[in-house]
Amino acid sequence: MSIVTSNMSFIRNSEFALRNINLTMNEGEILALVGPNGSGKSTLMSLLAGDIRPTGGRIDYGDTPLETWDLSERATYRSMMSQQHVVAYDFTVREIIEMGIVHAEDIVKGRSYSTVVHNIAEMFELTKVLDHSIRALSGGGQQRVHLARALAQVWQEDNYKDPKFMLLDEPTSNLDLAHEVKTLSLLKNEVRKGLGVMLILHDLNLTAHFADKVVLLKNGEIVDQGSADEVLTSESLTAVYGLSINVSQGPLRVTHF
Amino acid sequence: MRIYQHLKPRQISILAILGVVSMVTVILSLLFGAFSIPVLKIFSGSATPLQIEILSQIRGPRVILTLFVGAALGISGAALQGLFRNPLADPGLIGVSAGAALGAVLAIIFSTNFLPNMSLGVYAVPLSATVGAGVVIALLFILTRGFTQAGVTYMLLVGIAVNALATVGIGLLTFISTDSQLRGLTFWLMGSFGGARWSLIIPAILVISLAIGCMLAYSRRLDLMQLGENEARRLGVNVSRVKIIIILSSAFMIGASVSLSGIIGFVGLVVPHLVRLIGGPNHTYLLVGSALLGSGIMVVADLTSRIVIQPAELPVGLATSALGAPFFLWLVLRLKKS
Repeated sequence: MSIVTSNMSFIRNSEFALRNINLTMNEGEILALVGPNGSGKSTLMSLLAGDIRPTGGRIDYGDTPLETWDLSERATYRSMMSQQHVVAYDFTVREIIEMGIVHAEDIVKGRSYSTVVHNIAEMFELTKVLDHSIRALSGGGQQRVHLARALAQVWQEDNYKDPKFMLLDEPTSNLDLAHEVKTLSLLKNEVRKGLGVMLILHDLNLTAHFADKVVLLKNGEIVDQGSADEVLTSESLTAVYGLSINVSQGPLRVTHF
Repeated sequence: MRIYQHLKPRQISILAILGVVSMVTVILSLLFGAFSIPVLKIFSGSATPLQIEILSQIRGPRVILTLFVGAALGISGAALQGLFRNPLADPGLIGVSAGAALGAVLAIIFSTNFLPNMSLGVYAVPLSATVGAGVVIALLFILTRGFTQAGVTYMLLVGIAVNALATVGIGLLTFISTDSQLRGLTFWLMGSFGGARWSLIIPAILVISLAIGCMLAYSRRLDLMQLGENEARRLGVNVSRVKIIIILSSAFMIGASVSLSGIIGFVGLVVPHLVRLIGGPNHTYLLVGSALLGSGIMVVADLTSRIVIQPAELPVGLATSALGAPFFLWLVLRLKKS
């Protein structure tokens, strides 16, 4: 199973925000969306999540067009985390993570809600703050809570028998270096169990290290897609970012000064 | 999706206490007033026919109406604050109370002036108020394209405009009213439960109960809405439907309440804050708690208004506003600090 777009475009204010997008997001794979600000990464992710409808072309979840999935079915197939989160009242971290558990019967299977919440909180080092108000946490802490919620929405303990996907728009933008690497490793671990993850990342070295597949966007069009080695080349990055960028191989390193 | 959130033990105890307290206030309110009714006499069966008459036909329906109006104001305040993700939202804010008030004032002025022979008797004011609330709901529905258009700010701004228009209408009617009408009108605008009769309150009780049921069924979805509309939709919540259900339920129950009791301010604003402050913000707890505390406070306010200047009565809306306004101010100062 997968999330697939075919010849998809999106027009905003009578201009193409995205044009002719063909990509496939697979289970058991980290796909990184890379490109300059305004290249259409977040818009693409909103389209894939089903927040907005494409102007042309189509999006399929598995073999079925996205429009035919109702909201609650979509919620069990994919989760999405956007960049900004403002929670209106003093909900506790535990309550926020629980909000992600959208389908009791499937995920619980003899395990209580609290066990699921506890497991996920442990992965994100949130156990100690479970009963604190989310608004009392730092920006990075809040971001980890929302990530934990997005994972709770699709999480399966052993292997991902049903196809599940996560769409994450700059999930580590507020995290320090250590938490950023830990978080990405943790996601990588879920991906090994069969989860499909799409990330928007600005750090090209982290992208090179963690992504199985890289999609490079510029002005709403896909410039190149493939493995990190194939896509993150000095020529294409220099062309896309308009900045002289060096790439050295083995291990892949991207430098620009 | 689960429709409710598991309650914490602390929240369950708070709800139980609130329930018991509002039951106690109901009993006290039935027994005390300008006409005293001794408890022992009722249970020993030696109460006079007059005492039984007062209890069953005057004080009984009054206390029951008070209970339901308090619940309606409390729960709709809580639900609207959740829907708008704004702690300053209030049933009065979307203009429905003002619409109902305009309808009632129209009936007070015109049913004696121009339609003396067509008078609907005691039903004229509540019916006209219900129509007023209905007109505002329809107007909101059209202006916001079925409550779905644009954001919350847009809807609040429409509500403010509707409120202003209704206030102009009430002002004009006040201007042309006679002295005796003015007196009736003023008291009505300050709120009172004095006119409660079984025949009048039963339809209102049915509407309020139904609306409370609808809101409770959406409590967990209101929780998810606190993450933002987009996020809630991604979690499987049909956001437009939540808006329609919450706004319609709230409008109908406020229309039904205002039509019988007049305008009672600040309960819908203040009660959800208190409930949130003592037990947390999740809506399964908050909605039930606000209904219970709203009832309790309302019954106490009505009892107070009946006994402080016996045998006269203080308008109950004055009592709630007198207490609510300073609390509101404290709230604003507290928000400013944080």
